[in-house]
Amino acid sequence: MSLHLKKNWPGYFLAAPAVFAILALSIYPLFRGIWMSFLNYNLVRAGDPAFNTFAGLSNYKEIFQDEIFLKAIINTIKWTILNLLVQLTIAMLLALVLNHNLRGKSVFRTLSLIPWAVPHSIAAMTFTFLYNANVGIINIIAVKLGIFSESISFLGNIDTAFWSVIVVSIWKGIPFQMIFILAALQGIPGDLYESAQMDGAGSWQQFWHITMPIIKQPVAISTILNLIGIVSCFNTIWLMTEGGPLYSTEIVYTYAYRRGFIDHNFGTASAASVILFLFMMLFSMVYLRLVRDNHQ
Amino acid sequence: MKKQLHLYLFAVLMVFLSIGPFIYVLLTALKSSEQIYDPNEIIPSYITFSNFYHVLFRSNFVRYFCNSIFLAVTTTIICMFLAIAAAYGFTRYQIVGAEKIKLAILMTRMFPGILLCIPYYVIMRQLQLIDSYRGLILMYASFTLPFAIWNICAFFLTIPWEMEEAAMIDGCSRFQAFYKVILHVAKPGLSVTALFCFMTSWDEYMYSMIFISTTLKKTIQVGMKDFIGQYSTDWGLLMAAVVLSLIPVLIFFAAVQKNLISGLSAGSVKG
Repeated sequence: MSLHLKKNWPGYFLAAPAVFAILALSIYPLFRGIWMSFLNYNLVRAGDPAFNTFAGLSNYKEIFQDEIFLKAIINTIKWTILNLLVQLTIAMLLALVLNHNLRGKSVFRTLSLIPWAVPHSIAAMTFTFLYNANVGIINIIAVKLGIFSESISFLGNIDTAFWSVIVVSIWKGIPFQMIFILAALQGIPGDLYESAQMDGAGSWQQFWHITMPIIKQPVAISTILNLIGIVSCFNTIWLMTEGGPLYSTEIVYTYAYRRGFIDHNFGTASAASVILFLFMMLFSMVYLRLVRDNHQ
Repeated sequence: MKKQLHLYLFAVLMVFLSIGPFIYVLLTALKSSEQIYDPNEIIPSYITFSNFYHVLFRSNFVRYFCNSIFLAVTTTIICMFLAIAAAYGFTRYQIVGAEKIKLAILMTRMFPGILLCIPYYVIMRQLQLIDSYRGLILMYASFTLPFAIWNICAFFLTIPWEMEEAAMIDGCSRFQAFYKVILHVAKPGLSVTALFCFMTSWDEYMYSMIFISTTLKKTIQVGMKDFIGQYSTDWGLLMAAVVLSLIPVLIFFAAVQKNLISGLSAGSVKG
């Protein structure tokens, strides 16, 4: 051990600051946050003698009796599955197309990455503008062509708000997913396809038996990374609808924010965030299991 | 060529969907307020730069812009410094449990921002770091650092140890070998990682909304809301601000886009 240390001490020395930073900035706040979900921590009643005392499961009881929270859970599940499915499908198609030897391939590739580079809040404001009932291009064109008889307030309507916001989230998420799929595709040697073609495999068979097994692993990792972004898509929703109208675009993330920084109840806000954390952990575990099982 | 027509059509459609919204944003920024409300002026018959003038010289926009540049650049420098050191330590020395530590670091990306935000608020109040950039930079580093470490490790692993050895035999010190060989070879990957850190900080909205209360300290994403009125919004001004705020992102993006795909996915493909 002492020989090991003598030889490798610079390694420990170099890694220590970053590891310490992560312990202090991520791990410690995580546990503190989980702990706070078991405390009475309502800042509105900060003078109360019960403030900052152990509350057992009462915060969890409170949110699970809240209809808005239950609605937020359903919305989160809907939001996550729709986002993932549509993003994966379009990203896969786009990556397959861009992996062909098209003329101007690099221009197509660069331009299709633009939505990823644009900040979330800018995207939200841009689409709020495009959706606007008075000045938005979507309404202007639809009314001109006679698709709508009069313009629609996409974000102010319970029936359309959720779909209008999810379109933005999907639009923003496709390039990131596509980057990972394209990188994996580029790693597949071309002669694999040539020999498959000689054996008479059709393009669908080639995709299923050559492409899929190779790109499955990297796509799984990028999907998990993407999932984090989807579930915590606060900026887009908050800037476009603030979870409204009538909580039709409320997801657990915006619910926790509302509880914490609008109602000033950090106890219930932490409880809702812990539920979100568990949801993400569960989802990633199930997903990883699925990918691995298929692999064997 | 003919067989590939549908591929071209799909690619063109996707590109149109990607940049179409911003073409309309740019057109709107160049319109006068009457033109914006006129459905016959989708493509303006004349253009005006008054929106840009107003945003640049009659609002706090430039101030917010500089604030965000300062925050994003500082976060990126700190994060890259820590991540490069850690990645060198992890990949060039034997550290007990290195793989497990790296995995644990990556796992911290799974923590929802809102779950960390609540304890941060309590901690930062105790440390009196609310409404200060020092606090904000620390929090930004917490979500850029894990990916940066993971990604840079993946790059350093692709560089064979023999290259450094050769440099050291030629008389370089270990630090010189690192500086001249590793940093040089890994440059494309490092620049993409830096872009990622910069964009994540530049993009950030929720933390700066919660932790910054002084008007002149606002970041650009939050400050943008100045142009959204409670009852009516001046769309021309807002769209001009959107166009201006995209400039640094697009410059940075253009500079590294060649390496973007291999750079961002390094950790997933090889790691």
